[in-house]
Amino acid sequence: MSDSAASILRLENVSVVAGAKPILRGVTLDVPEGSVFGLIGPSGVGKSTLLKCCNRLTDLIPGLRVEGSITFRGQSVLGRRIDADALRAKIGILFQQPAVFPRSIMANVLFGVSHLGSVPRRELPMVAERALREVALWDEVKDRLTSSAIYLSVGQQQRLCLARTLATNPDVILMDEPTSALDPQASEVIEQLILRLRGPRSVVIVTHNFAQARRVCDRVARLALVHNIGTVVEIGNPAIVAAATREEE
Amino acid sequence: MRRRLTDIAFRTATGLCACVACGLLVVIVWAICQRGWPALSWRFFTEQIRLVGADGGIFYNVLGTGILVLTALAVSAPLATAIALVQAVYLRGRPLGAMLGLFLQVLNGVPSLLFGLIGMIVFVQALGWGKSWLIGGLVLGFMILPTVCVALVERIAALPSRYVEAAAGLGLRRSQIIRSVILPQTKGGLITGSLLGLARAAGETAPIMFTATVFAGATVPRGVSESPVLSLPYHIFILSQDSFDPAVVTKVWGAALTLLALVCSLSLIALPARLKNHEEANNV
Amino acid sequence: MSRWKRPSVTLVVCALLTLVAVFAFMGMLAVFVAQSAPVWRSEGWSFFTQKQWFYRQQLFGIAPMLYGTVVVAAVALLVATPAGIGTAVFASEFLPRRARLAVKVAIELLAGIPSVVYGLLGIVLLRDWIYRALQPFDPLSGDTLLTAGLLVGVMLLPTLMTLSDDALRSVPASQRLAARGLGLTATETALRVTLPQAWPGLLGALLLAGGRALGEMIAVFLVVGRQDNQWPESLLSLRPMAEAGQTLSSKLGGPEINIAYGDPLHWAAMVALGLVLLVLVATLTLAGTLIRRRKPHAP
Ligand SMILES: Nc1ncnc2c1ncn2[C@@H]1O[C@H](COP(=O)(O)OP(=O)(O)OP(=O)(O)O)[C@@H](O)[C@H]1O
Ligand SMILES: [Mg+2]
Repeated sequence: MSDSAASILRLENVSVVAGAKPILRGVTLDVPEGSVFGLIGPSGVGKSTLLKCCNRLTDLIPGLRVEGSITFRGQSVLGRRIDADALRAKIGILFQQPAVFPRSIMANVLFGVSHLGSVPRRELPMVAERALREVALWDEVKDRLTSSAIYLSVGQQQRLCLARTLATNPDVILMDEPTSALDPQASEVIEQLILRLRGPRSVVIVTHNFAQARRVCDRVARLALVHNIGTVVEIGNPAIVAAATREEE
Repeated sequence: MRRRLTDIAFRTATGLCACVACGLLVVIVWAICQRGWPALSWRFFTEQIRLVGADGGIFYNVLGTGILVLTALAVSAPLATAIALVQAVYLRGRPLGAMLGLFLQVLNGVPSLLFGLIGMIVFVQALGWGKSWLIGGLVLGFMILPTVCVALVERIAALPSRYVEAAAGLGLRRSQIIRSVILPQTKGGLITGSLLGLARAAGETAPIMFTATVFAGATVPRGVSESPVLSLPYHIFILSQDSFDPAVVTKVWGAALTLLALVCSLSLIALPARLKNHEEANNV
Repeated sequence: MSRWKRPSVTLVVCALLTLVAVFAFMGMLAVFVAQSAPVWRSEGWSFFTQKQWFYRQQLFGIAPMLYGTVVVAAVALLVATPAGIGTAVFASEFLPRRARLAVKVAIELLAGIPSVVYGLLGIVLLRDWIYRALQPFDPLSGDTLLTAGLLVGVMLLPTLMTLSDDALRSVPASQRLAARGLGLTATETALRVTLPQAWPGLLGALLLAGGRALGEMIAVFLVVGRQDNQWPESLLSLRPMAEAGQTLSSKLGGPEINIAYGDPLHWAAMVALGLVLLVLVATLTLAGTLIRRRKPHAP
């Protein structure tokens, strides 16, 4: 608890209840600024739900109640008075399946920024180029920026979604199994990207893949079902957590 | 801040629309209940019309509407079942099946007045039946055909393919599969669709005014030709046109309340199944 | 496989009944066309452009009725579109599931109210309100095109709301979530993501509702005044809205059809009215259905 200055996202005793059914209980973890933080655990344990708590996307799921404390840069995230939309611009999210809008590639990249109004209109093309270069998509799409994004391959779409998030200049990016829909080569590209993002930005990534966790994460938290409710059972160095898990199995 | 305000303004504007829509329902139902309630009595439902609507009750009107609606059901249920099976089973995935679906949609849009007109031309005039309950039933049955059919087709399309595959795996012929799996599993759709269709048929005036119903002077029909019935919607339609006698006004609101209750209870019974289907179809 | 060789009884019965239904409809079309033939021969295109309908003088022009029909439908759509789509947007984008279902139930009930009951309400309530509201324009009575349009507008509300809700719901939830995840407000998501993708469904809903507006008879009949040959001095003038008029359907629903049977040309003219109405409505319905089928362009 001493290094709170260095932690960008801190969850304390977070519980989630869907209707009457508890999904997560007593989750406490700290995401150090500039690090890549992994969440691993079996299917259905509540990893995606935990991720959505961090930027209040849980608000949009009827019947979900989130309790406990979540702070972003020391400020509370939960609570009615917080502007959840502004928060989501600071804490971006990337889903398991890329969700591109049926518009041009350019429009997709600029979809978030152009609404936030944080960038003057004439600088938008530059922002788009920078974001696309950051995800290594620029060379592939620079000649067809105005054609529809839905014809891109799934791997390209996933990178486009990441570019779209990066363009809004978030401090934290939440990634929900970003490579599970991709082939090994496309996954490799995304992993490289994550490593490049670390430092200026912090990443929280859900993954099923220990090897991946070892390659990209600085720390991981392992979730498991205890009495049928998800909770964090272990936090630490990815290699150690992975080894411990293998022993358990 | 500007975005916040836009958000609030848009929510408020659309919310007002919703309030207006729901408010309309309340106002309409309230207006009818308030005016119609005093007219309701035991006599109102058991006596026949007297003094051109100023006295007496609506017994034969309710009966006539019942006869028309049940005839419509008898006409539409078998036809709709047949068409639904052809469209969703025999012609599944074929262009002809899609065309049949389109045909039903267009039929659904045809104004009810035109069904009445065609019934008049064919049955009343060409075949010389005169006004008859049977024509009304036929016309209404044809009119609600798409409603019943579409409800059934939706159910058949939503039927998990493993049922059909399991039956086919046992070596059943297609006709046997239809009778032993598809129809039993989807009869809920037929019932829902029929209830909705009946609700619509019960409230329609235009298709029966030229073909099946008169304002006064009919009781229980005997035979087919020249045997019209009274009906609730036509009763209201005629009385509302000279609504100056206060006694008549009360009675007409009473009839409207009765019709509304009849129609709403029919569609309310069908509602849960319909909403469930709808939500599932849109995987909310 | 020899199993499907001989058609089963079920198939034969189903196919026969289907053919009966299809041919009944085709027969209906044929009857309309055949019985209206005399008027097409005698009037030709002037049936549409003639501004006078005096059956004793054998003058059959439906231009004023077309005008009345269009005005009533336009007023109805003008009233119902914002309210119907607004309600659908509110219900599907802002309301939690439970409340959304409650709104849907209310709307379904509204849809179930028979048109004759709407007509009765129109005669007893709306007509007087309109008469008072239109005092500055010195109307003859409360029976006006405006009254009919407003009444039909209320009747269209449930249709529009239900169809629009379908269209909005067919936009995948992942699209909304992606937009919200970028920090867009619910309004921005609705305006920039949901509505643009739902537009074919919304346009289809408008066309289908328009078809219903053209064909509605009973309610219009009771409040439109049924004044023949009302042709406006200028097509853009709003003045005729405060006056009585006639629509295709209110003409067909009136007592004139019983007089017409004796006179072949008059009868043909009446049936031709029905044919015109049928063609108009079927075109709108077909277009609306086809547009609605175009699914939103998203994975
Ligand atoms: N809206 C909801 N209502 C009820 N239960 C829910 C809801 N959302 C999620 N759950 C339940 O919460 C649990 C956790 O779901 P979640 O999607 O977070 O799991 P996950 O760890 O991401 O699994 P996976 O690895 O398969 O993606 C599951 O048991 C799920 O059924
Ligand atoms: Mg998940």
